Amino acid sequence: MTPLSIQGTGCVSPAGLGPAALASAVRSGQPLPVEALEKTGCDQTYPARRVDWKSMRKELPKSPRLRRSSPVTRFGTLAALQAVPQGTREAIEAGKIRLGIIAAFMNGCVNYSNRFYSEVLADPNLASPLLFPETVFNAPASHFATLLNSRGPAYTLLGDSATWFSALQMADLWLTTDMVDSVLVISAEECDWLSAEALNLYQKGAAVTEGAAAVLVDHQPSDLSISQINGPFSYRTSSEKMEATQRAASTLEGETSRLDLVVDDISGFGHFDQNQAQLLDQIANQRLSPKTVLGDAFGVSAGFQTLVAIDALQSDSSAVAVLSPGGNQHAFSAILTAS
Amino acid sequence: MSTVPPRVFVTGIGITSPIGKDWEGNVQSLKRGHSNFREIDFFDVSRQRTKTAGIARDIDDLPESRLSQKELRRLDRGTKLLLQATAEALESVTVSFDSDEPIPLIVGTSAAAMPIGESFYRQSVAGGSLRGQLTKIEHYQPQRQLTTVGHALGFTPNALIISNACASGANAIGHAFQMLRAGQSQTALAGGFDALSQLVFAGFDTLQALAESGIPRPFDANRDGLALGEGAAMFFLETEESVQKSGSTVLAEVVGYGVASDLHHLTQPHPDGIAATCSMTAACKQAGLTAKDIDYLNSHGTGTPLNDVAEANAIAHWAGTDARGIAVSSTKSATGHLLGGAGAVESAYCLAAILNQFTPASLNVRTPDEAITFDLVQEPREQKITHALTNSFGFGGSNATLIFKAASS
Repeated sequence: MTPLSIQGTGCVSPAGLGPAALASAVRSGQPLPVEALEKTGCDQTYPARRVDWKSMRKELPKSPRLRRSSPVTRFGTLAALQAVPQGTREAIEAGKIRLGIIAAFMNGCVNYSNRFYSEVLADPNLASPLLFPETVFNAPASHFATLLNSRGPAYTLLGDSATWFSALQMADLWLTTDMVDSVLVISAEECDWLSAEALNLYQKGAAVTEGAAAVLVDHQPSDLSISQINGPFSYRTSSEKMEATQRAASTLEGETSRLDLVVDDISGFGHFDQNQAQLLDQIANQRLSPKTVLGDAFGVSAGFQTLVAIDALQSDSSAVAVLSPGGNQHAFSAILTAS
Repeated sequence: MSTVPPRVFVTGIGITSPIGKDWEGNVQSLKRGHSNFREIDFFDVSRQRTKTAGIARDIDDLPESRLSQKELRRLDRGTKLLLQATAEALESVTVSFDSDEPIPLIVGTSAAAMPIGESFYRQSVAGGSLRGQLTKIEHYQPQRQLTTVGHALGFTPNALIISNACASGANAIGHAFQMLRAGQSQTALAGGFDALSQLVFAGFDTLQALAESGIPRPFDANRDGLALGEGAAMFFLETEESVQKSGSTVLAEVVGYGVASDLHHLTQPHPDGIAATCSMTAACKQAGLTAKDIDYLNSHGTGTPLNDVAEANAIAHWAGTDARGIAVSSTKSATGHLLGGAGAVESAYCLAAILNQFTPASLNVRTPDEAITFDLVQEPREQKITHALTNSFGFGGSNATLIFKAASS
């Protein structure tokens, strides 16, 4: 692949607005406060780390598109607006920059899907027609395209937590084939008891989290770049996942002398942590583990890792790796560099 | 070093839909002008305005596979459709697979394994036992559907799932086409699927987008909505170099792909079909063709009042007076709207038209809409077809166009 130049970043997370708040929280290593996410209609709760939306909602632009939008759209919009500078937005609107948008999701608009299906089960005649459109996986990408006045391709990818890297690889293809000039890669998730319950079937007691990550990439010169994406290393079973993670990690072995840091996917839950730790011990002395501070961000996990890596490059690192074993689909590793 | 991208050919195809369980069944139904809509009996529609849909035939008649009886019992409708279509697409392929070398598997879907998610939800809100819930949540995830199909048929997929609503299937084929042209792979499996599910059916019903009569009439002046359907189509794509090595029989060539976003409204197209014009123009530009070169156009043609007139306006704008010479039909009149599967199934119908030299029809049209400037095909007919174009315009404004060319030309 041609290195992807990073021209902008954006983030919404329980740590606050912006990639710096996220990175600061992750560097501190202190888990953020957990709140109880209630399951509708019963006294069951699940641990969650939520975005402080009240403090951020004033940042959201006024638009008819956002009136009934889901949290994933709102988080994604704020991340997108940070990642795409005003001057670039004007150039997109004027048709001087051809923008592509790739959104990567694991759960998507689960709040509205939950609400809408509960209404359907109660009485489909009374189910709200306002909710259904926002349940569709590509509704957020449609809103992002509209808010950025981008008439180019706007794709939505589904997959496990490593699909963020599939989106970056797709961005590289679009840029290489001159389909677009610039690509906004974005991922977002929202907390819901439904996805929290699902996670707790895999990892009892694990906290869910929410937010959005965005990067604006192109093939123009930049101080920061994603210089390698290794993968996908596809798998189906748990044992294959171990092997795929090992293959992803092994792509970093030749780079150990220049790597200052690895941002890993260690969560504090499950036997895959030990596997990662053993693999990465050989590769870099310094590691950061966003999930141990934030919880499980599902589809946005690898986006958060990437933003933490970029923040490190902006401070004192010259090469940082990200390892993303994914959930049940594919593993990736990536190297990001500062010139 | 040559900068000319490699040519990309279709060398395998598989399809299952309401009008046929396989390729031959679909071709025969299209030639005869058959449709297939009936009342849904696998989820409750008693309180819906509309109760019918295009229901896939013989959904439980699955190909031989490596799946155990237990694994087969777990399959949802969507995975069954995808398995049927993928198995058929691979039947004629002569490429030898190294089982350790993953194959790009690029699939479009809108609802994925929604019925499993619905079942998880119902059991969860009912309280009580968690038995089976972990299995459900695992198999609800679309990536799991794709890896299951790979496992069933003995290959490792590098799975990529595109969910651009009703354009997903076309985008998946288009993306595979781009990958092969860029030299990222020599082969790829690509297509789309969607199965009927209660949530999605109820969603379209609440929007009052479904034809109350249950019969969609795309491009009829009195059309009253769409019918949902289910199905899948998968394509095996190879570069020219791969075909030379494998000796595969070429069915058609993919020559153009265009995409554009319609920013007008989340659920309604721009009345003039501006983005649709852009996607058709871009696909033609890539193919080195003009509208005049297109012999058959498989329209998005859902049968909703707004969609059909927007597409008709877009075709008029894109083709100008050449529109008169373009045979256009909407095969959704026969199958219903297959959502994430639509773009792939309708691409397969373009190949059916090319390989059998006929045009499928827009069924049930009594009074053509006055916005029509093209040759609306109301009965299947023999016709020389060299280039066929298919449009897929998704909810949310994802517009995609693919162009296929006859192999002999």
